[in-house]
Amino acid sequence: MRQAWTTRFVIATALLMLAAAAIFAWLRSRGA
Amino acid sequence: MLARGLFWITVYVAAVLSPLVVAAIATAAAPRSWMTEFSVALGFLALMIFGLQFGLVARFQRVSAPFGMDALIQYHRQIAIVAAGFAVAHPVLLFIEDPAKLKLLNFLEAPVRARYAELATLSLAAVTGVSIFRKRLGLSYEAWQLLHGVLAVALVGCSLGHAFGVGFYSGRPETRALWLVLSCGLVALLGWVRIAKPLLRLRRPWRVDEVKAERGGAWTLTLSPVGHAGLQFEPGQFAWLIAGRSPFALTQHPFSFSSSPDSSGRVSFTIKARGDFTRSIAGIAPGTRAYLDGPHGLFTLSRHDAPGFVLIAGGVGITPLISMIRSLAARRDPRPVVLFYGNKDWEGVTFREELDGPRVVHVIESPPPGWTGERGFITADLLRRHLPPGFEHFRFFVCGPIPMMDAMERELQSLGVPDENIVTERFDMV
Repeated sequence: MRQAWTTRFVIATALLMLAAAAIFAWLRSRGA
Repeated sequence: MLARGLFWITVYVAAVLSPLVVAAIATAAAPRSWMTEFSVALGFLALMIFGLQFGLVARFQRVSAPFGMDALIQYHRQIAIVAAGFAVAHPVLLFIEDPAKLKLLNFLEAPVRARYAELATLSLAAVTGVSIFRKRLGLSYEAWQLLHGVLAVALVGCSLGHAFGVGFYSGRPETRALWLVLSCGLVALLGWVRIAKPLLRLRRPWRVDEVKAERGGAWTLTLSPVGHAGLQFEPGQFAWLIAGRSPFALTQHPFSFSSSPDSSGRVSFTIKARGDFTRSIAGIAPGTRAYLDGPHGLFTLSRHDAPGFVLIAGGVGITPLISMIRSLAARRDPRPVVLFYGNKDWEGVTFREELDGPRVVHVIESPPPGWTGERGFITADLLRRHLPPGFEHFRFFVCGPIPMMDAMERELQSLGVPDENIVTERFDMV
């Protein structure tokens, strides 16, 4: 049970990090 | 416990994202393309995830308490795959955008920063390879532990060298300060785990009092503290054990306590001979010096208080459960306890003589002639035949091989036992 939650949490953090990377790239490429 | 869990998650996520935040705020460098910046961001994220991996498995009890050590180890393994993906995507995106960069792959002619990147990639490939193919490569758990540690340090060290070498986001005082703090943090963490913690252990030695053969090819190792008060553990917890070697030994093994914590400072572990180390247990002489790191683990009665307990063991998975049984008996706890204990054959039932009575259901895969008890595997039907009324409110502690625990979770759900009443702890390392 906890295993499934941990896997979901891994996926959630991975998506959060990807979103942060995309926003960072967008801000920087605009010269922010 | 929830607040502490959220606190550590926030610390972790903030640390992983910190290079991006600082680079976005504190850089005056000219803008580059989205693709280049996205690739760089993935590189930073991978570096931070790999750097924090050391902290996840450094056995800080404050960090592991809200989640459980097994969940941290699972996260460590799964997020490593994510970070490996980020790390591989980082150069690939740069090559797609500017194929001329491919010439940086020539190790002999490449600048130092690119050489660091190549060494980091090789370390990443090696660290991933030895973890996925450990068994096929014929590597013992001990050799793997050593290789994993060395390659992981090489991976993070070379990645930091690469980031400093490129220097695009480490040139300004703010970004340089962040990278220095992160690097120092990593060195401090390694120093704590490899030097300070073993030094503390050195001051709390244990002595092996007895090594006793048990049924089923298991051995019970009893230790007593030398010059200190020992440790306070709860039945169901475990500790990392080093026996007959220096506390600085790189390889250690986690084992559940099998004794009751109510007994005089001495602790026992019951260990089945399986790998290199466990097979050597029989050869440990009484008087041998030992060191413990523990107690750890959330697989405990006090954390899961209930009107009654159902313990389900497969083979040597009985160890944490016998500690619970002994402890409840010593405390004269009146609550009902039922043990379901699955084994291949009757002769190999560890603690068979001690586990006798109406509340113990032995389930034997290949029973001897004339066997009148339960046979085969533990199933929902079998559980239903023996469980007392109101069992849905009991706590179910399951310990055994991974496929058995998976099966038990399904069977218990089919009996209507709520998820939160099923307690397992899994240590499927590699």
